[in-house]
Amino acid sequence: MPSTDHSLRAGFLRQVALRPDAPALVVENRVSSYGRLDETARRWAGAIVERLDRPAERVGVFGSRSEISYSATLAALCSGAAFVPLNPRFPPERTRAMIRQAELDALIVDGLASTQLAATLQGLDRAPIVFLPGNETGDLECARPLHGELPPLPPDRLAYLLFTSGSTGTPKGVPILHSNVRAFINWAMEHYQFGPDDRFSQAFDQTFDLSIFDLFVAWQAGACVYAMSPVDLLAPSRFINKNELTVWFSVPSVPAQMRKRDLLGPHTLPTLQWSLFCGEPLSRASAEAWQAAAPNSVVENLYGPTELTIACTVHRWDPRVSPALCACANDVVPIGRPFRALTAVAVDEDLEPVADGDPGELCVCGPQTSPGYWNDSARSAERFVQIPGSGMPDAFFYRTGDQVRQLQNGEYVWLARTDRQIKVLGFRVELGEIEGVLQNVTGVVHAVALGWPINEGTAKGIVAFVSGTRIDVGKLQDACKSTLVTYMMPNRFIVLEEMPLNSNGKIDRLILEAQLEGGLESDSVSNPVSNEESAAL
Amino acid sequence: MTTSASDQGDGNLDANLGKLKNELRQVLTSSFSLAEGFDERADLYRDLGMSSMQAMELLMALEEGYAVKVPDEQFVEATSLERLARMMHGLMI
Repeated sequence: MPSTDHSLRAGFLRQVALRPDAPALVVENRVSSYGRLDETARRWAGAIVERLDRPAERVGVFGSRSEISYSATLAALCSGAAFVPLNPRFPPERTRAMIRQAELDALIVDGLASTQLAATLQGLDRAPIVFLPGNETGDLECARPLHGELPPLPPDRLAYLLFTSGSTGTPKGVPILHSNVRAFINWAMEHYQFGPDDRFSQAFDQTFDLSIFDLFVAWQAGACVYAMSPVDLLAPSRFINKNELTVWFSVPSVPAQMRKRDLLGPHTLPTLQWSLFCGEPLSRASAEAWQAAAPNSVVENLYGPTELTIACTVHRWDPRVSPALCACANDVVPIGRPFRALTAVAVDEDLEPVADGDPGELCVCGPQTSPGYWNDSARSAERFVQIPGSGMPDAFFYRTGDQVRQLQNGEYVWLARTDRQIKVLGFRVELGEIEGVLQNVTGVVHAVALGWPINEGTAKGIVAFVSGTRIDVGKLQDACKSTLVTYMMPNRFIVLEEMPLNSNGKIDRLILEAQLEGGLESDSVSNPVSNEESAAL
Repeated sequence: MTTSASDQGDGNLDANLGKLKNELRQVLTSSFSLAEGFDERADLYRDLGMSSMQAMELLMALEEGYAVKVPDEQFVEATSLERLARMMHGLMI
């Protein structure tokens, strides 16, 4: 491999040359070496190139933490294309919208996703070429592998395209370039000094960008990645100890849940050297409990939206210093300092930097900033902005929508969202997207979705209030089920005759929240037809 | 896991296990959207697509529905309907 390759695949390919027999991946006790993964990826890349009459631009990876889905990610990159992760646990309609937006050239499908394939591709006018490695012996197995030098991936090429919840009812695409993700990986390697003996957890869905840390930082270091089944997250200690993991990365909901079930006792995670949390607020109690459980580990809280490539700020937990810092911000751990190559500034509503220590919206620029939303210049113009007062008037900052405050030591603490995005178990959810779906149901006049209950800064569920005429709760559920991901589903629908309005004639969400606070039995909701559904839909 | 030889000759045990399996299948299809007639040996998470959120809900539903404490270590091993039924059967004896 020429040393000029600075793309996302470069670290992996370097390790293939250095240690082809070393373990790169373990899925369900099956070990794949660097050499074997490389061989599979190059063969599948060969199949993609053979079947297309043009260079591959974007390849969908439709799968979940399987040998196929990991190999497909590498195959896309080896073919010179970007990868677009798609989730078999999402409703087919949602995945279809993503495939349509991404204009995929090819789609590689694992066993679980193959059960969704027909429903997903239904009605697509421009269907991608489909590869089913699980039950196909033709194209993939017989293809000629791409040996030697691979199609080039210059820094300004797309590395991956991820879709996140969009406030207007459709998922929005976030393109990340090789230069963006390379900047993150360089930071991670310098900061953590991982090596070939490290063993990484892989707890995130591949449609969550934090999974790219697990895979590509591990492979950059020559380390091994251990894929977790969704159920393993219920007893992480068992998985960590069985595989003697040294690096743990999850959303803070995992330790919160473990504390609740009394599974995070002192010294129960002795093998861990690095414990990283990202995706939602990390409570002081969870950080303390994890540190006690993993006394040989550094505990860090990372922060960053997809638009800023995986993470952009970090706080290292220090039992002597951190608890006092948490006291400055609702007992959650600070999000810390921006990475060295990045610039952060907190601004007011007019994009003017706020005075030191005042609350403001966090805006970040630098090599990790996405070039802007996929085929959506209007939305990009709103969120990727120039800030004249920042001292870098030409740079484009991403407005995170997170309200923060800078402490005297230079670290940031997270305060709240400036918009209507919430986090459910670390997943980004735009409440507006849920409301958009409900408003399309016959009879609905108004719909309001709220995260409820909120605990340690993260929502445990979603409640939907709707008003209108002859509303059928079953229809509301069906509409949600066909377009929303499980964690976005309201677990409770409350039908009102009228929405409470404030003095401006707008729906008064505070009154709705107060009604939830007060408990619905004793409140003033007129004629509530509440339908208590289990969250398991 | 397959039906072990030691179960043979114990009709009661088989009958109880069968009844439990049917009940659990009912829960999994009605509350967790699994297709009717799914393979009892299939992995609920890797093959049938249940999420970690659903795993947690299933665990809580079992504890509430059967009034037993389900140890997490056992639950994460019980990844098929067949294994789940055996685990619950063992916990309720």
